[in-house]
Amino acid sequence: MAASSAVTINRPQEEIVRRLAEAEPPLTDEETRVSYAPAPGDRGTEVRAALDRSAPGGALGRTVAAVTGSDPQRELDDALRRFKQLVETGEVIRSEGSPGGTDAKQQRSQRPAEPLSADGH
Amino acid sequence: MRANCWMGRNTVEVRDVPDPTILNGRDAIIKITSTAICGSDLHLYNGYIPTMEKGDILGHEFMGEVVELGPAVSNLSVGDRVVVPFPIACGACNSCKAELYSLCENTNPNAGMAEKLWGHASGGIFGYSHLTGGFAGGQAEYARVPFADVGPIKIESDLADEEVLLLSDVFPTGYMGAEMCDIKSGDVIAVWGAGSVGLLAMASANLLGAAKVIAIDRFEYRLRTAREQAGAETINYEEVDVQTALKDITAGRGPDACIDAAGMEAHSDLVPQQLYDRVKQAVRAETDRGAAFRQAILACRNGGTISVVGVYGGLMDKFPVGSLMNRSITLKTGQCHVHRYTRPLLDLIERRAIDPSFVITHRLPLKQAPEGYETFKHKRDDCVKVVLSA
Repeated sequence: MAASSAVTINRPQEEIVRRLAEAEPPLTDEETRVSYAPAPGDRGTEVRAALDRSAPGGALGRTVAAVTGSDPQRELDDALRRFKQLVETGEVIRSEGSPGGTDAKQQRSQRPAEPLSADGH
Repeated sequence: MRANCWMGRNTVEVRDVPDPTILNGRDAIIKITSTAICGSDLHLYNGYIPTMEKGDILGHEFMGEVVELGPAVSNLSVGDRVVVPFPIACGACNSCKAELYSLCENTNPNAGMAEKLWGHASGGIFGYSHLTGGFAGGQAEYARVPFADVGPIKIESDLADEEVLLLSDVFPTGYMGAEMCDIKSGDVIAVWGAGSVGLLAMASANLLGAAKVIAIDRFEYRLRTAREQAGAETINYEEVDVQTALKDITAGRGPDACIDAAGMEAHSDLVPQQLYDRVKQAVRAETDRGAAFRQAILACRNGGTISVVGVYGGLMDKFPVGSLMNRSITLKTGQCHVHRYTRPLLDLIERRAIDPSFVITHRLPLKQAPEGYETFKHKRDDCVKVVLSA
C-alpha cells in the first residue's frame, strides 16, 4: 500500500520548495516524492506527496498501524499538515489537548484541555 | 489559577489548574475579566458532545487584559483590553483570506478527527471539545490565546465589559444569521429560538432593514424580551400552530427568510452509526430543538432563504429535502466568522446603534459557574445569558 497526501498552501511554489528542508519525516524522506502545481484562482500552490513504504504485515499490520497511529499514510498526512502550518503561519499550532501539535497518535490519547504544568505535563 | 472544568455529564467544577503559558510565538495570555456561558456550552454540559475529556476547561466567550505576549505578536501590548473571538484563525490560509475565519485550515491540530465525521475539518474553537482542537477555554482566570495578532479586538473606549463581551460570539453569530438572509425592502424574517443568538439576530435583522421580525419560542419570558427589545411579533409554539400563525402574519406567503437560532447541537462520535443514534437520543431528549430546522424549511416562502446559525453536530433524520428543492429555497449556514464582524459591530456599539447587553440576565462570580450552568440549563429565574466575572 502506497501513501499519498495533498494540501493547498497559500504561498508561491519557490517559497515552499525552499522551506521543504524544515519539514518532518516522512515528508523529508528520500523515498518521498513531492510535486507542485499552481492552485487555480490565486490560491497558492498544490503540494502532493507520495511514498511507497507501507505498513508491514498486510491487512492485520494496517489495522495495528491504524490503532497505534504508526501508519505511513497518517504520518504523511500529519507531516504535510504540519508543513502547511509552518509555511503559512510560521509555526506548528499547539493546543492543550494536543500540545505536540497535529499528530494522529495524540488524537487518540488527548490530555485534558487545561494548561500544561511547569514541567510540561 | 481557578477554572471551570467539565467533569462529566451534568458536572462542572471550578478547580485549581496550572496557569497557562505561551506555547506558540503568536500566543497571548489574557487575564479574564468577563466570560459568558453559551447556549452551546449546555450541550457539552448535557453530555451530547463526544471528544470531551474530564478536566477540559470550558468557555469560548471571553475578554480581558493582555498580561503576556509571545515574541511574534507586535500589534498588542501588555495592558491592552481585548475581546477574543471564539474561533481561532491564523489569518494566512485561503479560508482566512476569504474571511471564512471559522474554517481556518491551520488552527485545529485534531483536524483528522473532524474529517472523519464531516469530510473536511473546521478550525479550532476555545473550550469546545477535542474535535475542534482541544483548546483550553475562557471560563477561567487566565487563557492562552493563539494567533493573538489576528483575533482579539482592542477596546479603547470606556465601554463596560457587558457592552462588548458579546462580540466574542453571540452578537456576531446573530448578525451573520441576519446577514445571510440577504434582507430586501419589505422582507419578513422569522427566527426560531429567542435565546441570546436569536434575540441578537432579530435586532440585527431590524438594523439590516427587515420590515417585520417574528420570534418563535416556547418560553414566554424570552418572547417578551423579543417583543420589547427587538420589536418582534411572537409565536409561542406550545400554544399555537406555527405554520398557521406564520401564514396568517404573512398573508399566506410565508416568511421571506427563516433563521434557525435553535440548532440541534447533538455532536457526534467518529463512527457515523453511533452518531446517528446519538442524534436520535438528542432528539428524544430535546425534541423541541430538533424540530426547528424542519419547521423553518416548511414555513419559508417559495424562493426564500433559510439561514442556520444554530449548531448541528452530525446527521439529521427526516430532513424535508423535497420542500427545500421543489420550492427553490436557498440554504445558508455556518459557524460565525467572528473576525469579519468584530470591527463593524464594535463601531455600531460605540455609535449606540445597538447595545447587545440586553440579553444578559445573570451575573455571577466565576466560582459560581456550576450554579450558572444549572440556572441556564433549567431556564430558572428567566435566564437568557449568564456572565461570569473574575
